[in-house]
Amino acid sequence: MKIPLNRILETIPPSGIRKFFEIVAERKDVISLSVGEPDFDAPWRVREAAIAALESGETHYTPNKGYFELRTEIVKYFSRKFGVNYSAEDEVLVGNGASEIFDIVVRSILNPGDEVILFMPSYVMYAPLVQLAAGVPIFVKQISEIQKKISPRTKAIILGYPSNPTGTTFQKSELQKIAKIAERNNLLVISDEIYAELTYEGRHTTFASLPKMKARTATVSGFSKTFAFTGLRLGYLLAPADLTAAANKIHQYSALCANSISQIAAIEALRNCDSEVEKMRLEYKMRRDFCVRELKKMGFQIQKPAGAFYLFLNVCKKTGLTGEEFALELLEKEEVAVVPGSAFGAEFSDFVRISFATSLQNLEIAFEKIEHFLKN
Amino acid sequence: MKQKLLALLKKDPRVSAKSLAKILGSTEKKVEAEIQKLLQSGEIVGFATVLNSNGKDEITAMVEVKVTTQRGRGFDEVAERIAKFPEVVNLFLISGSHDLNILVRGKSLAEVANFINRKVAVLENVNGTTTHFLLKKYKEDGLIFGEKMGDKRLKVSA
Ligand SMILES: Cc1ncc(COP(=O)(O)O)c(C=O)c1O
Repeated sequence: MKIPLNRILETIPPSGIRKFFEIVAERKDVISLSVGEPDFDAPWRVREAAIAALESGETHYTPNKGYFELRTEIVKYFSRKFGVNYSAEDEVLVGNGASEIFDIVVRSILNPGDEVILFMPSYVMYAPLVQLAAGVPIFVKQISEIQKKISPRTKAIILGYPSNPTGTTFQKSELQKIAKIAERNNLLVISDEIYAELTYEGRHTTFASLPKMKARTATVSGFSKTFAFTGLRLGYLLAPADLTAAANKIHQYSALCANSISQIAAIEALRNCDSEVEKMRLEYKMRRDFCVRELKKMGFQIQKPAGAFYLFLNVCKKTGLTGEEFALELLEKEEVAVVPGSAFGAEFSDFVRISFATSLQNLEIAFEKIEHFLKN
Repeated sequence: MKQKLLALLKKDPRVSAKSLAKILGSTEKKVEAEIQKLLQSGEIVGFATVLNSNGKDEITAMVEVKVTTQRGRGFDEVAERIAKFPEVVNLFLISGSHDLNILVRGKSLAEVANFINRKVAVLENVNGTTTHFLLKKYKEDGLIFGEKMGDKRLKVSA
C-alpha cells in the first residue's frame, strides 16, 4: 500500500544536503569541506560533567522547560555576553537543539496562510518548517526589499546571523532598519543567533537588544556551534513569556523535555568554558583568513565572512561551472567535497558552500587540490 | 605574527615554513627570519619530540631535592650545575617542602640511582633527596598517550 502522506510534506523537495551526502558517503579518502558542525569535540570538562551526571543517575525526566539551574545559567550567560536580561522563570525554554526550538516557535505563531519574511540564501530548515506549519515563506535578498513584500498576512521576519551558508552578519545599523520595519508593521522577529559567539569582526549585536525589540523577538540559539555540542542536541528559546509558554505547550507533548545529561553538561559549558570557546573562535578565525587569502590568490572574488565557519563562493564567474558541476567534478578529480549552493535555494546554483570547520592541515591540502583542479 | 607563529609551532614544530607562510599570510623568508630571531633571543629554546616510552627500556625518576642556599647565592648556582648533566630532562625550582624538582632519565634503575647518589646527592649545597621512580606516563607536554584521533563526523551536513 502506498501510504498517503501529509499534503504539505509532499510538496517539500528532498534536502539537497542529503542528496550530496549520499554521493560523498560512497567515497573513502575525501577531504570534506562540507561539514556544518565543529571539528572539535565538546570541551573535556563538559563531557566529564556528562559522565558524572550519568554515573549519579540523572537519567530522569526534567521539567518541560529544562532544569531551572540551566535556565538560570542561560539567562546569566545571555546577559553577560549580549546585554539582554530575561527571566529564568518564564522567558526561557530549553529544547532539543535550535532546530526543535525554531520548529515550535513557528508552529506557535502561524495560522494557515500566514506569511513570514525570509532572507535568501539561508539555513536549510527555515522554509520547510514554515511550510509544515502551514505558513508561506516570502523570500527577500536585502533589507530594502522587505517593506514591499509585507502583506496583511505577514506575521514575522526570520533572521539568521551570522549566516549559514554565507557567514555574513548584520551590522547594528542594518538591524535598526529591520527593527523599524518590524515595529511599523507589528511583526515578530525570529532571530536564529546560534553562531553569535563565532563572530570574527566586531561584536555580535543580538536583535532583542535594540530599543523596544525584546517584546517582539524570539531569539533561537543553542550549544551546538559555540560549545561543539552538536550530538548532544541542546538549544534554547529566549522570548516574551506568552510566546515561551505557547512554545512549551507544543514542546511538552512532542518532546516532553530535552536530554537530562546534555542539560547538565550545558550548565558546565555556560559556567566554565569561556576560554575554550575563545580558543576555538581564534582557530576558526585563522582558518577563515587562510581560506580567503588562498581563494583570492586563485582569482576568486570573495569577502571575509564576519562569522560562522562558511564561505559562500560564486564559482561560475571564474570557472563557468555551476555550483553542482563544480562540486561533483572537484569530488571526482580531487576528492574534495564542498556543498553545491543549490542546496540553499535554486537561485544559488552558481555557488558552493565551503566549510572551514576542519584542521588547517586539511585546509592546506584541500586548497592545493582546488588550485590544481582549476589549472586543469 | 609572533604570537600566532609561536602557537602554531608549539602545536606542531614540524610544520614547514612554507605552510606557516600560507597560514599566516606571510612569506617563507619572513617566517624563517622570525623563527631565527626567536631562537636567537632564546624565546624559543628548542624543538622537541615527545616519545611514548611506556614499556621501553628506559627508567625515569622524579627527584625532590632540598638545597641549602648560602648568603649571596640563590638556588641558581646549584640548579644550573645540575641542569648541565645530560641525564637531567627537566629541572624546576618549586615552592613547598623541597626546592628543586628534577626529572632524571637513564637506561636502568642502577644507572639512574647511581647518577642521583653520585652526582646530585653529594653536591655541597644539597641537603637531601627523595626519589620517585616513574611507573607509567599518561600525558606529557599536553599530549595524551594513546589517544585516538580521527574525524567522527558525517562527511556532509547542513
Ligand atoms: C543557522 C543554524 N541554525 C540552527 C542549526 C541547528 O542547530 P541545532 O544543532 O541546535 O539544532 C544550524 C546547524 O547547522 C545552523 O547552521
